[in-house]
Amino acid sequence: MSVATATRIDLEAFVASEYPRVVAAVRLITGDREGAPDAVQDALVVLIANPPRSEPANVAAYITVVASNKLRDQQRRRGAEQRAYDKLPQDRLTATDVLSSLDIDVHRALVALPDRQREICVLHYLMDHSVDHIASALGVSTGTVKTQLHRARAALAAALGKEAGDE
Amino acid sequence: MSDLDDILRESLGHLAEPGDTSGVADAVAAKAAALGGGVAGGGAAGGGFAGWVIPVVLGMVAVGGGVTLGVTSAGAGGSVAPYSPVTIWNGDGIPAAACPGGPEVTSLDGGARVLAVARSEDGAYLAVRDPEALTHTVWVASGSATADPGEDVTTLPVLDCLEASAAPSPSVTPSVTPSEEPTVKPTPKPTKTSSPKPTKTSKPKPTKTPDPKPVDEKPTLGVAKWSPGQISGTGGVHDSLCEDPESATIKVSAADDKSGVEVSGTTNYGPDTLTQVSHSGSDWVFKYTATLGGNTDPISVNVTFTATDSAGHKVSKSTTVKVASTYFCFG
Repeated sequence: MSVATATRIDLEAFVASEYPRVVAAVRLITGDREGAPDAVQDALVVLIANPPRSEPANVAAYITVVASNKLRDQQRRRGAEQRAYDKLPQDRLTATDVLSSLDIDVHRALVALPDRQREICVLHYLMDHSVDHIASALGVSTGTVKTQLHRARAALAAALGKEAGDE
Repeated sequence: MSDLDDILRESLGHLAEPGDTSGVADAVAAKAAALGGGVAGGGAAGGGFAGWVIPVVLGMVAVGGGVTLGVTSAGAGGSVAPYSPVTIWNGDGIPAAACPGGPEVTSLDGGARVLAVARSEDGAYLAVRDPEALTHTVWVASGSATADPGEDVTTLPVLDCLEASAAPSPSVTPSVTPSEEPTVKPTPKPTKTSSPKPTKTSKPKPTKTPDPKPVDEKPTLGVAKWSPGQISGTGGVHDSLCEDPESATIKVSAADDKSGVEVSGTTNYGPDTLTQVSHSGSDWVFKYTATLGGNTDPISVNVTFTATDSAGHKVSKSTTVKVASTYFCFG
């Protein structure tokens, strides 16, 4: 990515390289396929127009968390979180028909996780973010991230009939 | 690395539905420009924003066919109304006020380049982004600023001070709650001088009762909550707090029977500021801003205002503001 000056974000480059994956992560975290793109764009607008006092350690992770928080707040207000999740597997199967039974099992197990554990799993396994970056984006300690990730892996392993093992 | 980790990475990759990038950069840039923002970092998108820098002049410029948010410069072209970059030319720094013609709240360095967002009705003052806090707006005399070539500050929207201050966050709609009852010290009643009883032998002499000297009372002071962050109740608190993270606006009313009063405030929280935004008659508006860092829960801060009249009488009143961190609001 080229960055012209220290005072400029190459928005086009960010959108080209990070936006698709960030939207995918927010969809998995929140289950809101339709709302995820708008939430991510809104988070970018907020970052540019009203930046946080402390710089994000990782912008993609930061945007993912901000957009996910916004959608979850909306879902809580609507009381439709479960309905959103219920829609996802059917839509995916209809849309692509390339998911294996294991993928569907993983998705079901992921949806069953608590919000924070699901978010950490997606940031870690889909977006390949480090524990440090995830902790920074969530505003929690690395120990908290490790604990939540450990519990999530244990729950996913049990749901999938696998050994959790060591990462 | 375990088998489980490989399964999770592979399946999440299959389940991921990437977003469509078409038109996204333009849409985001337009929205950000509409909000008057343009702060950017210098790092790679996938990494950190190394060297995060807050620019003093922001705008939207077309670069190489794409849209990039960044520093505008003379001749860059494409600056989007209603924002106009201007240069503060006074070498000693010029006073900046919360409202046109108001008391100085800060000063801008000579040669500073700032973004003008509005003008007063008579054109004598420009509302510009405060370089020290880009979400805030301060007013400077138009004569102390020079617009960039091609920029015309006379086309800026006409706003009053509060409208301009709210410009960075147009979604914020301050809610006014009833003002608390002002504290009023009872007025001392003049001591009555009893008249001597008339005697039969002498004509009663009327006793002149001296006029009581006017007593300079303490000023009265009321503190009204006037902040989205102070709306009470359930369901709306979170969103209201996050319309203006780490900040709260407080309305104060103060008056004295004899003279004008000065109002100042203190807080019981450390890393914060309390700035007078406006003053009109007996009404003051203060902006409270806290630095909360990574606090995950909103905090309540006690703010005490003191009104002092010309005789030195003081009266204080406290209120509590509730503010949330940026992390709490945006992750």
